[in-house]
Amino acid sequence: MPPSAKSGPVFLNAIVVEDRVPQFRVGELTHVNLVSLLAKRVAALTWGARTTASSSWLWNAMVAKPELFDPLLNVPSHASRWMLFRKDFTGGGFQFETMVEDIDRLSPQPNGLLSLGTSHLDESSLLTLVPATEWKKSDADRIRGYLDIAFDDHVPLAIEVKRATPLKDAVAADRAALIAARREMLESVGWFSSQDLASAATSTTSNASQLAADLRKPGRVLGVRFGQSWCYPKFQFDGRKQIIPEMKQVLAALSPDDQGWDRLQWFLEPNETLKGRPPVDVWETDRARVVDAASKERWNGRD
Amino acid sequence: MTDGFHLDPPTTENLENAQRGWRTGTLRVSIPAETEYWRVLRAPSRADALSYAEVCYPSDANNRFSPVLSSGAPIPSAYAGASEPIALWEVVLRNIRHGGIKRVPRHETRDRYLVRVKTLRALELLDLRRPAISALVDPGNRPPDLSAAWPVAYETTRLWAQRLVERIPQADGFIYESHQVPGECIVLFQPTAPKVFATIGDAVPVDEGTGRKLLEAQARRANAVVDFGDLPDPPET
Repeated sequence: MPPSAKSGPVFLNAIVVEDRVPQFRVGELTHVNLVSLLAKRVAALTWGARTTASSSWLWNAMVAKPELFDPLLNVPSHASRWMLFRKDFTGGGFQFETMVEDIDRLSPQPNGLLSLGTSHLDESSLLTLVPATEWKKSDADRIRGYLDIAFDDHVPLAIEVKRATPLKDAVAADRAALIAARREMLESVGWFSSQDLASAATSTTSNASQLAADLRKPGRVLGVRFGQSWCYPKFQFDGRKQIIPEMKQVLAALSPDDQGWDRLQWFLEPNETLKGRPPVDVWETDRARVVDAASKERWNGRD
Repeated sequence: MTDGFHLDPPTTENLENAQRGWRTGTLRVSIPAETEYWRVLRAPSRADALSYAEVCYPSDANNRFSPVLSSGAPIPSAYAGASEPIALWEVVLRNIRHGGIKRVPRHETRDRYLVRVKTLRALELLDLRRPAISALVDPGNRPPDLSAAWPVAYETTRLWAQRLVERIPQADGFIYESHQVPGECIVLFQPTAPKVFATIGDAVPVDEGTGRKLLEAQARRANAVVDFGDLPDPPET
């Protein structure tokens, strides 16, 4: 019985190398196809449901960015050790799962491959094997990086699955994704509460929320609204919880932003003016450059 | 992931190849009048968006191929995509695959409109699509990834644009592949006759109605979510 990803056939998407020239192979995951592939010099082997694995993303990436895949062009034939990566479309990049020894042992029964790295291959996941003969296990991160870049450069056909999602579910999923994104941003930098700021202040006010609002509203401090609370990212304070003065210039340049999330995201993302470094990474050592980068942003006006 | 991309500035050889390719037709493509495109623009109103959509504008905002300067001032320019998704991806969603944070900021959608346009006259464009772009380099060498460049590499793509426009001033602009979704984009440089498009239909705000639905659907393709600032409060942590 052919293997299946819950409700459909499993598709292969492979790069084989002949005379150092990569070639693309695609087909269904069957014993015959697998044996045929493994007899060649395989640089990468991906499989998943039709909606994921029938995409030529890996091939397109290889053509567009050959330097990323050059190391894989030197793989030996009949590799005996492989690194297995898994990507789940519900989030995250390719994760290294396990080393696979002696794949020939599994090839007579493709179902054995399906059980690798995941107990249930479903329509939202993709598995990729790359030969590991000349690689150390520590190289897994490097390969994962290759796969992430390649995949990010191509729109996966898995979107077809998502398109079929009822709109109500899609809206709920968007809301959950937005909450998760906000939470992730906030946790990546750490934050103080209004009470934390009040305890560090010399003010005699007993209303912590009011004190924080008095700093936030005139643009002296970055606050992000999470639920009913305001959170204040830690990087804008010194060791005594005093506000770093340059924040005011950055916040003035990055406006308007009622809830603070756009400004926080700006601090966290690669920035062109800062040669691809996120402002938060430069902030500690060169705040003038961060202020300059903020001043170059165009959040308003004609573009 | 930003370490994974590298783009060299143009060499004299690249520019000579471009000039030769333009002269021989290898790197030149004609777009007939009335070819339809889609544009995404920031404007204070629908009426302004329709007005802005018709012309090239001398913006000094840093984009993939602009500003290109002439005597120190930006040459009026205009970007357009061959479909609604391309126009949205190239403007509103251009950072989403590179930033690592799968959230489209509110400032990317505020006051932005999607407008359908058609060209008023035939245009002669420098062809930066594959395989034509290979003519910029010697045989066997890899052509520059001008359309695949991430926003952090725009400084270099702008330098390419500056040098190419200086070398081939008779070109109306460039045609290139969208890096985000299958299809083509154009950028026009029009120093003397900036009105290049006529609009078709109304301007569609991208943060409400059909524009919003289209944008949300596109963002989902990258497992991303657009933050319009109007979702209910999340639960307390």
